[in-house]
Amino acid sequence: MKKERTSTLQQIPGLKENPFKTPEGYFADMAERLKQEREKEGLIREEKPVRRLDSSRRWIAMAAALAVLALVSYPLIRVISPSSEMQSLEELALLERSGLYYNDYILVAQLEDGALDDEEAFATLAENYLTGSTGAIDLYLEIE
Amino acid sequence: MPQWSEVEILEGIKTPGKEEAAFAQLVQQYQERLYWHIRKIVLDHDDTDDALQNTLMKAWRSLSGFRGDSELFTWLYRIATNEALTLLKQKKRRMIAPGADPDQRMADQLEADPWFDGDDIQLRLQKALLKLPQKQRLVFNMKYFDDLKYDEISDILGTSVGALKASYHHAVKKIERMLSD
Repeated sequence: MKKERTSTLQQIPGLKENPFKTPEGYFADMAERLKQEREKEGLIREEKPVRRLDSSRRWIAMAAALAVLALVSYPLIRVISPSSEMQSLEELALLERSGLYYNDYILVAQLEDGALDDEEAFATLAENYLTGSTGAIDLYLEIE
Repeated sequence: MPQWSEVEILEGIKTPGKEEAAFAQLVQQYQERLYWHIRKIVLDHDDTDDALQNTLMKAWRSLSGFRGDSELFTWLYRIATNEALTLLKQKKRRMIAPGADPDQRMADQLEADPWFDGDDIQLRLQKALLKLPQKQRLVFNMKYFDDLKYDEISDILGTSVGALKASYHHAVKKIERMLSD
């Protein structure tokens, strides 16, 4: 049987070990240094705390989202096949004019297909929709 | 900080209000791998720091447009490789002494580098690597030190797997000869 030749490089002990080192705390500081760099260039994006809704508010958020979606999506569902990806610029333009975005289109398609039966997933989508679209979530969370 | 998956990072970058948290995750998860990849190319810590910051800044600017046709890690590695090679090119251009050998200069600097902690054989290996053609050196680093698969290296460098295998084979042969001299 032919013996496989082992490279010399595999035989020298310690050869593969990392011979380089870094100043202490180098990696811990990186995120902060990058943030300062991005601030200099005006590249910082505003961070919003992501609030999780409790179950009763989640139901209300779901109902509100459904109502809004029903109002705007019915005419769109009639025009656009929900089982296919957006095919044309005309469809994109129609969605943009209606104020819906691509993720909302997917939500509509999933509702139509019956793919959304997970309460948690739907509540999250509803929450994202309200947070991203209208600012209604901020108004809602102030109500006791 | 609990780790996010690649999908979660990419979704976070595209979600208003979550971009900063997603980018912080990306930095935390990938900075060391990217650093050591760049460092093996440029050797010097300060140069590596410059290239790494440039890499992560480029990633920040371009992430929202990332199409996902390669893995995030591969995409970052590609940017890091280009930044490292660009920096090397600029460095070599700045060595204006006539007849100067930039690779020899880098080997000499490595020997005196306080951030190089290798023993004699490791120093000889790094000097041998500097004598390889640049791409061969890249392939060797990624295969030998980083243990990347040929498919991954192919995605990063845009070279066929067959060519990479040949390149690595030749690199190993040359280094073995140089280390035995």
